[in-house]
This record gives sequence, structure tokens and C-alpha cells, in this order.
Amino acid sequence: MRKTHALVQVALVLMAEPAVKHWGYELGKQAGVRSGVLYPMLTRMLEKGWLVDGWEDPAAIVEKRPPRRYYELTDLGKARLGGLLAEAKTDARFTHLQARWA
Amino acid sequence: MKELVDAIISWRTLLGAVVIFGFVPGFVLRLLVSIYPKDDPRRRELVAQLYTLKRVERLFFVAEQLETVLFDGLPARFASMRRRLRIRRLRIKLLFLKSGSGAPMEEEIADELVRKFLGTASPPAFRLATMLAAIPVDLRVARFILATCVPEAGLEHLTEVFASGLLRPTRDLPDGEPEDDVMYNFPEGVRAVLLSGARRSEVARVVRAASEYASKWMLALRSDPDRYAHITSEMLIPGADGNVCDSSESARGTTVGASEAEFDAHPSLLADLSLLSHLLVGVTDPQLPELARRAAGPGVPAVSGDAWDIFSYLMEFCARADGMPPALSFLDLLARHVGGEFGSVLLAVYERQVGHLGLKS
Repeated sequence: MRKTHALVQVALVLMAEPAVKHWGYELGKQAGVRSGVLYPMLTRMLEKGWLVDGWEDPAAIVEKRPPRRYYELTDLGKARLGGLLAEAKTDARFTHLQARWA
Repeated sequence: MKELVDAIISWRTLLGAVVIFGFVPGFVLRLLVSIYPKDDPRRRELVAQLYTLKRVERLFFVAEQLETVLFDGLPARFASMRRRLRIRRLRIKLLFLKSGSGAPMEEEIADELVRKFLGTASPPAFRLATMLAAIPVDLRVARFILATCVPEAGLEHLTEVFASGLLRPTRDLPDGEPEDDVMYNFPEGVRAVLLSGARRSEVARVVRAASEYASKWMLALRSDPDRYAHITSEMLIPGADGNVCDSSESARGTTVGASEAEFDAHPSLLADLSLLSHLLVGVTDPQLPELARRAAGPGVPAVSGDAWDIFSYLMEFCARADGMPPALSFLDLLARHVGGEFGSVLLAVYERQVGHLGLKS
């Protein structure tokens, strides 16, 4: 995948908590990426096997609403996104994200 | 034109948009997501996401999804349409490979069966049927896929699929034999029609899950040698000597016609063919001709096209001296070449077929 700002921002959020389930819209908000950019990116990550998806357990939902879809990083995804972030750290194009590396 | 622009930017239009988006955001969003193909999980995902938000945020969320459906939904819709067209073409090819002659009637029957099922089935049942179309099916595997890959579906949806007549037992159930041991198959062409609407990532996930499950189960079954032998014999591709080609012909690398090759309609083989057509169509790589050459030997004429074209072409060749059909060898080489998750799915199919043929991978 092409190393874009949006991808790096999403990778930062995913890798901040690599073992938890991420919800699409929250992921976009935390990363500061619009839905129109985020969802095609998530689709590509799923196709590449970087992410797996699933649905919230309906029994665990207290409010009256349908179950949400979640995304989890695979080992492959952790390796690829980890590599991508390592490259981005030294890339001058992403210096404005310095505050988020920590 | 000016009047149109004025009308669009007028206060009345803006007010109308706020009323529509603000009071019935769920309805508007459902309209928007209908751009996605029918079985695309993003349809449900976006609607579910809407109801987790505060009411005031929903208006903005729905507006934002306009962009999502334009950049994610429309390409998915077009891809689905392209896939359907390709699969239609490939299904004829599959039928030809199986029977040795074109059979447009069977194609129409498959379309009709799926259309009827789609007209009456609930969405979870249809999605479940699509997932099952990617793998060889028995009751055990069907229950496993239901539990792991289609969480929105329940046993009633599984019953719906089986009761619809889309899945038929491959043989009668003898008394005393566990019902779970009987394999089920879709009528000719139905797998391809169902898979034509499925996403590659979803299909890959189901194949992975089913392969892992099958390997664990087969391992456990080793403790019961009689049942193991019975079930594995059920899975083998029928044929006089386990090969689809005459070995004397194979040494010379001669092609044989489909009718000569006795390309038997075993459920697992047809399932894998449908699955492979779904996975390999559109896969291109400059190394493909070289992989084909390595799989079939230097005497085989060069071939071009996508991975499915090459795989189909190699299926017409006899097995090599070691018993390995060039098409399977190509699949193995391709799996190792592409690597990753996609490679592992191809490898799982390869190993399954190699196992069925009684060859060592």
C-alpha cells in the first residue's frame, strides 16, 4: 500500500493498541481521517490480511442497537504496519506527526 | 443551469436537507449504503455505527457517508458487477471442463435456483449459503462456519439453507452412519453464482477457517481408523487409479480432451474449482508464464492471461511422471510466489487436492 498521511495516521492509532478491537468510525476520529478515506483503506487491509474483522456479540449490547463491526490486527498486519511506521519516522513528509510517535 | 444552482443553494433546500438528514438519518443512510453490493458487510457496519452516535452527531455522520459510498461503495458495486460477468463466462468454462461440452441449460438452472433462493431467503441465510459455496460442505463444517464466520446467523438460518434445496446430500444416508459424515453439494453452477457476489477477503477467511477446522478434525479422527478410512475415501476424487490422466500420456505431456480425462463431479473438487476461479480471476503477475513453464515443463506451449486462464489451460495437461498434475503444481508455485495470506489460502486448496489424490506435497 502506498505510504500516505492517512495510512500513517491510521497505522499510528492501530499500533498504539495492537491487541484491542477497533471500531471503524472511532478509528477514523482518533486518526483524524475521513470515512471516505478510511473505509477503502480498511477494505484493502482486510484483503491483504493485515486485519481481520468480526461483529460485536449481540448479547453484550446493552443499548437497543445493531452489533457493530470491529477490526483486529493480525500478526502480519502488526509486522507490516510496524515496518511502515519505522520508515515513516525517518521520512521528512511525516515530521508533523512527531508528537504522535510518542 | 443558474436556476438549478440557485435552487440547490437556497435556504429551502438546506432546510429540507436538515429535516431529512436530521430526522430520518437511518433511512437516508440505508438509502446511501444500498450502493454497496447486497452482501457487503459495510451496509450493516455503517448503519450500526450510526446508532452508537449521539443524535446531534448523526446528521454529520450521514453527510460524511456520502463520500464513503462514493469512494468505497461505488467501486465495490462495479467490482461486483465485473466479477459477475467474469464468473458467468467462467461458469461455462467450468461446465465445459466437467462435461466436455457446453451446457447453457445448466447455467440458466443455477441462476434460477439462486434467484429463487434470494427471493425467499433471509439475508443471514443468503450470506451463509455464499460462505458455504466456498468450501466442501458437511453438517459439521456448516455448523462451524455458522458459528465463526456468520455471527448474525443462527441454526434457523442454517436450516433455511438446507431446506431450500440448494444443498443436496451426495448420497443416501445408510442406517447407523453418523449424519455428519455425509457430504452435501450445490447443484451444478450454483457455487459459482453464489461466489460471484462474495468478497475475496470473506471467501479467503472462510477457506482458512474451514481448512484449520478440517485438519484438526481429521487429526482427531485418526483414533477411529475405520471411520477415518471411510470418510477419506468419500473425499477422494473418483477414478480408476486416482489419476485423471493416463500415466503413459503424462510422461509425454500430451493434452487430453475433457471427456477423455473423466473429470468427475466430486463435490470437493468442484467446490475448489469454483473457489479457485473466484480467487484467481484477475490475478496477474509478470512471473505467471514462467511459473506455468516450471509447472508443466519446457515442452508446453507458452501461455498468457491471468492466473485462472493459466490454471484452466494447465488442467488440460496430464499428470507428470510423479503423478502431480501441472495445474496443481502451478497452484503450489503461485502460492509460494505470492506468499502472505492469499498464498496460504491457495496453498490450503493445493494441499487439500494433493491429499485427495494421495500425492505427497
